[in-house]
Amino acid sequence: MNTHCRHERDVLAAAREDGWTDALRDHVADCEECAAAASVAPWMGRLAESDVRDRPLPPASALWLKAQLLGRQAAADRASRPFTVFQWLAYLVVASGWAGLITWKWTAVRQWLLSFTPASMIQSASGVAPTIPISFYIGIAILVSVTMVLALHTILAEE
Amino acid sequence: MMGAMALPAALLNDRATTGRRSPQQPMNEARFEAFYRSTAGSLWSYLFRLTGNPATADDLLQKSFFRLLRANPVVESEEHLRRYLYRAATNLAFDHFREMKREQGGQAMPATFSDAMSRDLRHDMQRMFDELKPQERALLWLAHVEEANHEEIGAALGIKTKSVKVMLFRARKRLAAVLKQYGFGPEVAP
Ligand SMILES: [Zn+2]
Repeated sequence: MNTHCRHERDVLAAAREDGWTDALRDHVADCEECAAAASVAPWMGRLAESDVRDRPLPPASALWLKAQLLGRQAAADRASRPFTVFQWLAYLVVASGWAGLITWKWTAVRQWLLSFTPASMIQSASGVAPTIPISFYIGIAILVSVTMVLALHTILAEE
Repeated sequence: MMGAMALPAALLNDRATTGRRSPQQPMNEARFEAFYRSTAGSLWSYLFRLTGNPATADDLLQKSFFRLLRANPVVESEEHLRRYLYRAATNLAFDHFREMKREQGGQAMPATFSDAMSRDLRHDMQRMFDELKPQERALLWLAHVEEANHEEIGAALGIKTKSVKVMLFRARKRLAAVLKQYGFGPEVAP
């Protein structure tokens, strides 16, 4: 059963148009493949005739337009992909910056946080509180600026 | 035959003026409209008979054409485009069945008709057809209604041409058994 019977098309046409010849009838009696085709062909024909589409198909122009819009959207997504990668890298750098600063200047951070407690405020007023290094404030200022720029950029890009 | 129908004017334009096979052309709106007019109706019927659901057929029809357009095909011949379209439609329909099966927890979901059609004789015919596996339905529809040859059927279903013969034979036997079960005798040559 590797090559299909060369009479199959004639058998299907005969079944469809009820145009049986003696030769085809004889063939169908001997050929299992054509007999199977002929046994279901009239029913398949009736199934095809009972088409049930009860509404019009969408117009081609609407499909064309939608496909163009989807295509443009996909192209825009592709074009913005490197930008998105850059954005994620920027988030990573800023987050690492904050993590680095906090780890590196942990003593200063602790001092700075404790400076808000009442006891520390009293010590500070009396001039005995330990001083926080200026590099810590510079680091904070830089990171706050970069974070704000990145946040603003994200908001504007989304809009 | 799937590729044997008359080519629409827009697709034939260059062949008519040059008198030879048209060179590969990018798809444009006019060519798409001509191709859509000649194929959408039969593709919808195919998808409807595969899924048994008109709304699903509508949805998959649109997706099939979107997939064709997204592939940015060159208009080499209508047959080439039709093959691509039927392959895309068949894949989408099978994806749909897999999704339905997942949603149903491994149970193959029988195709459903809208209530308006439920008392129709057509419903009984579709119900019998739905007793077959999706691939069997696709094989039978393409062979008997689209009059596609084994190579075209193989291309549409993504199976080897050599396998089509055996699978089609089995599908026909299965349908004959289903018809018998519903009280339809074998309809062989008179
Ligand atoms: Zn034969």
